[in-house]
Amino acid sequence: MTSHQDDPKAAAASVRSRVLIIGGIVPIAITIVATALMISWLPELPEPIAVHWNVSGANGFGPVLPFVIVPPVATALFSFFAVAWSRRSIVSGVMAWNQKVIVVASVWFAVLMNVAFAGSLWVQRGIADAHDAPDVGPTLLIGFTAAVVLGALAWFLLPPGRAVDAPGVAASPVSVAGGERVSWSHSTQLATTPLILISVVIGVAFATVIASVAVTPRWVLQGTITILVVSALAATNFWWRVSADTRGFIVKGFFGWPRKRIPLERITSVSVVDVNPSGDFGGWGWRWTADGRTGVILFTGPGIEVTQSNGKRFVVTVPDASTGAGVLAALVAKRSRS
Amino acid sequence: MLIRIDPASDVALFEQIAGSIRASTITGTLAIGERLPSARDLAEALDINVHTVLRAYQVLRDEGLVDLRPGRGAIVTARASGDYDALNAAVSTVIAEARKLEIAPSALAALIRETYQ
Repeated sequence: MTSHQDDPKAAAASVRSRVLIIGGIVPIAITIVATALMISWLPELPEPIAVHWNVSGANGFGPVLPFVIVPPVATALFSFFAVAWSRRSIVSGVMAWNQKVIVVASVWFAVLMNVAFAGSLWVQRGIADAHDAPDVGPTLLIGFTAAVVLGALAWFLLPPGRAVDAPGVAASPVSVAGGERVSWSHSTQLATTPLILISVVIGVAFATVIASVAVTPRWVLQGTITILVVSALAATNFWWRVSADTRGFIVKGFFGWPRKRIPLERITSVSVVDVNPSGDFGGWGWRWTADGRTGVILFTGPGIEVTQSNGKRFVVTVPDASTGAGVLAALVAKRSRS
Repeated sequence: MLIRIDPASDVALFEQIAGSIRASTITGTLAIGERLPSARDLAEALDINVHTVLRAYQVLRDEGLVDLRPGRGAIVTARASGDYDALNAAVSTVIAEARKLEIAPSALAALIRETYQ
């Protein structure tokens, strides 16, 4: 913050440690305490326990084990994700909005979930039959309030969220002789990490559809169509071709769609930028940011940024970006000369 | 991959395209498994006949540098990636020397071509 303004490295280190403590250590500590308490209450609990309440009292019953296992596992997974997502990519102590939201959500979720589960067991201590379980509502309300308060506290302990916009390096045009024609093209594909992440999400979605179809068979068609559409949309974002030639700057998906072409006459400048997907664009694929940058963001690394005559900027992460940007810059310069 | 062609050159266009692609496999910007743009796409990009591009791709296929399959396009083979580190280093040295002597790229290219043949 203020004291670190002159030293980006120290600022980044300070923010990283705050992210680790707030998004990771605090949630894990909360769930360790909650889990320990729940285990210590086990001998006093009825079997089965009440797991669901309505206005007239407990109306759903089940075994106690999931209640003890779900909070630590879910909290650990979510906080690990929150820290991994935000920590590595913090440059110069700047946090992107989405990183801040996820770190705050990690605390909020940990408090809400652990208080709700532990609270549900706490009210059932010492009763023989779960039908007599007292109302859990007040406990849940306490959990919710505590979650909001701690979430707000976390929000103020983290630096302000910002749209990250590191300036690129102007492309150095390749030399093109008088009658020479030059073109550049490269394929670019999604990095392994997001590929695995997306595959896991689609896999979980498939499993959910199969499970819900087993329960309600009439959803089989809707479920299958949804999964297929989502998979196809995701797949169109995996593999792209980027070209720079007399037609302009062209980016197109594997099936020739989606496709974007920026003609040379609409390009005012070309630069090479270092892209951080989660920090700069909040994820992978076809992306928009609040500050008017659009991008096809596939991996952490170099990208070509094209500024158009209407001021809008378009970014694509692609291997050998400096050559591509150099060719494009040369073509733009050649066109404005002729 | 960067492709340069000069319609005024004595070298046939398809040979110039093949040469550019060979160079890209040597410098490593075209990795194994990388797919070349479709012949139609590249022809549009360079404003030349699609058959010229196809001929260049066929030359590369005959050399074993790309795999050419209908519907799948041209894919760079493992054959294309030899151990070119020493060659790339030597090229850098030659270019540095040429820059020092202010020799134009076209003159350097002509010099190499004539010495090689």
